[in-house]
Amino acid sequence: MNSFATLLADTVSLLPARNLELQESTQPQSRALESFLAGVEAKAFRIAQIALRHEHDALDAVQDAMLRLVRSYSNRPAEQWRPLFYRILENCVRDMQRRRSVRGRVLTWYRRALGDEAGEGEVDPLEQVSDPAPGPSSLAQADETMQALEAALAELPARQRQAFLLRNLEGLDVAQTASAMGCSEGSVKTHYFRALQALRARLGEYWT
Amino acid sequence: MSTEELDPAAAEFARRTAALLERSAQELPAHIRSRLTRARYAALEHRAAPSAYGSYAWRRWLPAGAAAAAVLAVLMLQAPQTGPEVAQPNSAGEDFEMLADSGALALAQDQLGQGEAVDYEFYDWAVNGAQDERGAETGS
Repeated sequence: MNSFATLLADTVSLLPARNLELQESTQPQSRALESFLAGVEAKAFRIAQIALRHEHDALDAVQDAMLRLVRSYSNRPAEQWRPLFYRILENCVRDMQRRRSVRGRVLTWYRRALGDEAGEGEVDPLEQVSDPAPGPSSLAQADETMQALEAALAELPARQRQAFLLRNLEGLDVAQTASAMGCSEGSVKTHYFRALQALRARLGEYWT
Repeated sequence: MSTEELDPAAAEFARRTAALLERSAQELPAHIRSRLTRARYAALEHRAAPSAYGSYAWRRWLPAGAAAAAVLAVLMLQAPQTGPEVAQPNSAGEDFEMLADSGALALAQDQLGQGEAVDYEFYDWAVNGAQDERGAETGS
């Protein structure tokens, strides 16, 4: 009985140490995760900003993507985080664009109804979309070339823009880009090549 | 498609756009960087608790379970020590013996009054029986 009690006492005394050990074992991964997020956040913001053309929406999209990655995929191997994060970010951007579109339609309908009652004319639906004008960050970057590039990127089809930014800004290789976009490597090459052609056609004057 | 696969003009275009985009990301205004930092910390705070323990969430209950087991063990260890003191097999007989030797039984009879008869035979049996049992145990 005494040996049992000794064994039990030893076990109980070891438990806090075991818990501490478990916590400490997760700390390196937490640090790695923080380091990863710190490394991608600026580029992620720029990618979201170019797609959404809105500073606050871009910040919200990046924050949402960070949160989803941490909550759902932080246990995945670190080498999977980058393509996963950009895939999540693209979904967040798409969700935000969809919400904007719905909000714009509802507001258009609402204002049209009010306008009819007040005898006013129709409202331009584009006015209801979130402010497409460059935000403070864009103004701070007051660079004609950069603004022209952003405008050209914003006009690209979403998949072409995504392929171009992931390859050119984030520096993902074709395989990682394919993983992030959820498509084949061949599709990535096609989207990227077409994006490059469209941008060169549009921006040629800025680059000669 | 890598830049090596592009014609030189396209590769140069890609290189220049990459440099421009990279610079724009590096030169974000302070308020944007601050917001991103706060977003990062907020996200890290939401790191799922199970991830710290993997699928072994039950381990979080180990300390409580171990504490309960320890309390139970202490009770079990103490029980054999207190039990015999409470229930000595001859304690009742010894008590009666002590009472008989001191004449307390006679005193008790007086105190009980005339109407309440005392079963002396029973007490005698109890005292002598207890002595006999003790003698048999010790071999005396």
